[in-house]
Amino acid sequence: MANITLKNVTKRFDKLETIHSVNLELCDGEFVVFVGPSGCGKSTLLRLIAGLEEITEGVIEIGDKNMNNIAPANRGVAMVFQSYALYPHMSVRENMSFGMEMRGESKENIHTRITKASHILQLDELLDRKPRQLSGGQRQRVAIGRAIVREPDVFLFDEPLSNLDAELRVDMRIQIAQLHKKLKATMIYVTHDQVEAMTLADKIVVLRAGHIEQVGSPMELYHNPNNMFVAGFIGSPKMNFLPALISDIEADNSVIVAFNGQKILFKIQSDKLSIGDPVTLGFRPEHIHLAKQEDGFHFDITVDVAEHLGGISYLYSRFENNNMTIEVSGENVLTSGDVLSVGIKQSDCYLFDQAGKTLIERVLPNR
Amino acid sequence: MPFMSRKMKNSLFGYLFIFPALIGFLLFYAWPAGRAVGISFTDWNLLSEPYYVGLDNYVDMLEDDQFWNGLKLSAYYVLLNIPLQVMLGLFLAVAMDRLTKSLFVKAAILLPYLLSNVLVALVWLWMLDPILGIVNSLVSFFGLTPQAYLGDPDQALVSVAAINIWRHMGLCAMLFLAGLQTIPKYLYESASLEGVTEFQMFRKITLPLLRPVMVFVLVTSVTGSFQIFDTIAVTTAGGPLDSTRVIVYYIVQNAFSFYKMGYASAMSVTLCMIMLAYTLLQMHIMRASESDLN
Repeated sequence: MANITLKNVTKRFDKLETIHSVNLELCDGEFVVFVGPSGCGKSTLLRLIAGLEEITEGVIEIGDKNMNNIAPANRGVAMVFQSYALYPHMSVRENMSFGMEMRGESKENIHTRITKASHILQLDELLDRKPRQLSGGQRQRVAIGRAIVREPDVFLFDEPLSNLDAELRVDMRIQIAQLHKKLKATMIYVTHDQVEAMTLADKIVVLRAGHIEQVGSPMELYHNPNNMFVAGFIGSPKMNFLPALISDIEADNSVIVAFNGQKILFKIQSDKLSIGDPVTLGFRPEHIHLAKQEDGFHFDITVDVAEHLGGISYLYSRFENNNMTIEVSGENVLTSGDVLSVGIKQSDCYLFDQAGKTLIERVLPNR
Repeated sequence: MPFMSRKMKNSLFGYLFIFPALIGFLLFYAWPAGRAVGISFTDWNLLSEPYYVGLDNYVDMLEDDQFWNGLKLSAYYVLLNIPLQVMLGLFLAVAMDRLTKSLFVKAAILLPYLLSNVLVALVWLWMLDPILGIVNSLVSFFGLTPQAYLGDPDQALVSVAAINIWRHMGLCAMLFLAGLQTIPKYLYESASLEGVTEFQMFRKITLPLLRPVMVFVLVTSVTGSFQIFDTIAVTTAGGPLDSTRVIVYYIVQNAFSFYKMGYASAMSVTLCMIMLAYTLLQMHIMRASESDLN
């Protein structure tokens, strides 16, 4: 069993606290992605789990065993580094066998494990090459191979694809997903790329400034972000935000939101709201229609830049002083300076209070 | 057609940049070395005109027991000096890399190298004085037998080696430290996750990746040690009983005490060839031009 529990984990570097009392439960065999902007503490959290950094306060358990004072090598974890961390003077085979040889494993065992791992990752042809003779993608596969031969309970990936070009990233992303299916091990994956997070994760942990903002499945985070930060971070292009007002509060948690001279009724918790409170209306670029919607808001925007990608276009536009992005499917001839009337359905709207906390609990679509 | 191609222009700029260093090299190294080769085929006592003797000086040299003894002593000195100097330098570098970032410690370790050779030799000459020196006072204090050090034919060369180990290990340490700092820390993190011990990491990661620095340290310190002269000139003057008359000391004696410039030059040229052969061999064996990093 390789479930992982973090209880009040805090990390301070001298006086600077970078991880603030984090609590987290990860189940055995889950693919968990830590995501957040640079400096949010996601890599530090991973290194704390690996044992490469000591925790200042709290407890880390792997498989229900306290790992606080256990050396990295004895935690049953293997890590794939952003920079690959391949030993440059060793061949691919030596890179994979080094740890096992140093631990005194039998030659037969080493050979079997390397053969198995190189077969899974299609490294058979490359075993005698040095890292400098490999491409970025091949190096990353070797780094993963080195982790596989350890047969760990937990795989830790620290931004493993960030040094690869876009096409290779997609390839490697698929390979990592297949690997997870095959090995069924617990995997923790750190990235700042929310597309990687959405496509790989069973569970996403969104971090900001050393705090966990939200934990949930990709679709939970997409449909029910706790706050504006998560809403803005999950989804690509990011969610648009526009200012609105509470114009009236009725019984049964019925709140009327006013935006651009239009009023729409939302069923939300109204206890803490007052008439006249400013709120933020959120809507995703893919939910904006180039036509007025029956049950929603509509307004006029001016296109600043139009990016035509073939199947879809992104219109980087303005509404009053607010920037917004609109996704349009199909081919079109829209261009800079065009003024368009757009609409959003009420069911596609997100609503946040003044502190940025969500006001709407949305129902997840059934699979 | 432009006056100069782009490639030519780039080369010209390259030469312009190294021009000041090139002048120094040509004037103080290349030209004297060329002159030495010429003089080595002559008999010249500095007063009369040199006259051509062909290979006579080289033939005499091969038959000269003092020459062979000088070479042997120099080689022995290198063997005494280099392994310990390199090992201590490496140990200090690893200790500094792991334990401290203190500039003060680095400065203290490098300080002996910043003192002049003659000054260091003089200080140690006094400290190792059999009667008045502080070393024998300490030896007596701990109840051990005082030694003659530089005055004992069996101990003189060892003592000179010890002085130079003390002087040079700081420089070795700094060079190794610079090399250590180019080895990415994540390699050690990755190894520690694999259960590799500290000693195994040192042997299997640090040492192989320090190879280019190791070549530099070995080549410069071996060739430097083989040319040991100033410490010996100050402390023992080749004695006692010729026990420290190393090859360069013998060359200087021939040139400036016996005024046999042709013979001294022949020995210099031979020594230069030996050093060149050693350097090329060492660089070839240790693949000096390639680094595994990058």
